[in-house]
Amino acid sequence: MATEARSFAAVAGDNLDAVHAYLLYLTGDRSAAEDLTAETFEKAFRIWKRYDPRRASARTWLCQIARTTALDHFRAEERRRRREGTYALAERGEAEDPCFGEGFSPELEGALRSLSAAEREVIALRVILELDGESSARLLGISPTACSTRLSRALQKLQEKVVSDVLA
Amino acid sequence: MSLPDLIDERFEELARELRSATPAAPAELRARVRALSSGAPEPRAVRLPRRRRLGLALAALLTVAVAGSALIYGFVTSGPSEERAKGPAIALESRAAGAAATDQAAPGSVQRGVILPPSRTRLQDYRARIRIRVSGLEALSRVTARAMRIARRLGGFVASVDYGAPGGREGDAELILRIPTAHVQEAILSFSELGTFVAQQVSIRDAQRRVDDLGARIAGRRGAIARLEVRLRDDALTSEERARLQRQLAGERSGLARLARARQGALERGRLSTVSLSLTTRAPAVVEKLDRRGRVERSLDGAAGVLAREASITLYAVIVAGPALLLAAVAVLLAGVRRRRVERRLLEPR
Repeated sequence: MATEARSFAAVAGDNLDAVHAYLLYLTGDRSAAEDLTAETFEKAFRIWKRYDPRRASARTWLCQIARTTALDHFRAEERRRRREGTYALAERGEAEDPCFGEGFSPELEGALRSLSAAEREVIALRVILELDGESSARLLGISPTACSTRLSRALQKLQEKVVSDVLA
Repeated sequence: MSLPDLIDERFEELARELRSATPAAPAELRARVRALSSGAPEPRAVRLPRRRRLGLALAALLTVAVAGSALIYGFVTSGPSEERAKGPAIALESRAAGAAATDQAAPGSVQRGVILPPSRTRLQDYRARIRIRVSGLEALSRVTARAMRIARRLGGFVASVDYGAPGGREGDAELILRIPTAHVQEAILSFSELGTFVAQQVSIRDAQRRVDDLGARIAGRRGAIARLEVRLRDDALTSEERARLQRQLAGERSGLARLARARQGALERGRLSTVSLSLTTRAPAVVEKLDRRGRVERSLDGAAGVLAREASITLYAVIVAGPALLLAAVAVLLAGVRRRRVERRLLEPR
């Protein structure tokens, strides 16, 4: 099985936007997504020698690292909130700048924000990054069927929210 | 362009809109990652991870070693078929042919094996099992009586005798004899001359250490008893203190008595060896059937036997380790469940 050995720089260049978009959808916070993206590539750089392209594509591998990084971030945030008794997420929700896409309508932006991180995550992986069902399921740690169901529900919810906001 | 694996085409337009404005990484982030990447080493040629290579090599080596050792064992033990007929059976045959089959075996004409001598300096638990064949029921009765006399002559005694001659044609006698260890070699030699020697088994276990250990503990108890007696002579003791010390003294004396009995028992066991003497009139059932198979076939049989034993040992190990492995598997499962629960909580806040 011949595998083209690519440099880390080439892989990083090709997948930076994808990883950033994934983290943006996952966190719903632009500045957090940027920090976590940088952290993801730092981690990937450290373990680049262990990457085996036969096991997963570079994009899937990077997204796995990004997911772990984001979950660590959420845990830290949860501990911080418990200590401080504040709800940082609620504060972030009040950001006015568009977060998920520059050309999105306010209704779509709001609808995306109303989804949970898990719902946005599956949309990011399957729709934005166009990962196949199997890779996405493996990344999420669920079965392909469960992944498909989660995506369907997330898109359904998003669509309903957009429509109801437009009508409102 | 339709999206792969989507359930419903209703979402196609929504998905198109989502993808139309995919946010790009800002320039500052791009510069950071580029700076990071510039120092990255070129990847090596794609190979299996080092651990996996090592694991595969080890597995291959183990397989070769197991199969090789089985084959070597099979080959070594598959010797020419004629050799199989040697040993005690041939010795017995030649003895029967060369001399009258009496209950007196000519000394040295039969392979008796080595009679392990007991130690002169250390107490030992010496046990021997000997099997002798005699010519008939009359000889069986005579030899049984002689064996008992030998034991008594050497300072020992007969612990038990089990004599049987069902059907009146063949008979067996099982004797358990306690012989002073200092004379056990002489006893075994005498027994082996009572008939045709068939088999012998000796086991020796050191008993001195236990006796020494008990002796030390007895000395310790005696010291404790002496100290308690001295304290009890004190007139200034209160009645409660005196009662407590007396109880303690009684306990120490009782313990001393137990240790003394244990030491005496150990000394007896070391002083007297146990000889199990089996006498029989029965002829051997089979005089070593000659194996006419080829060497390769015998080797493979031997190898198969070794592999079967190795498999049964492995199975035993798996059975013994089974509960632990099961617990480990359950722990891993529970850890996975817990991890997913935590992730759900983080990604789907209520």
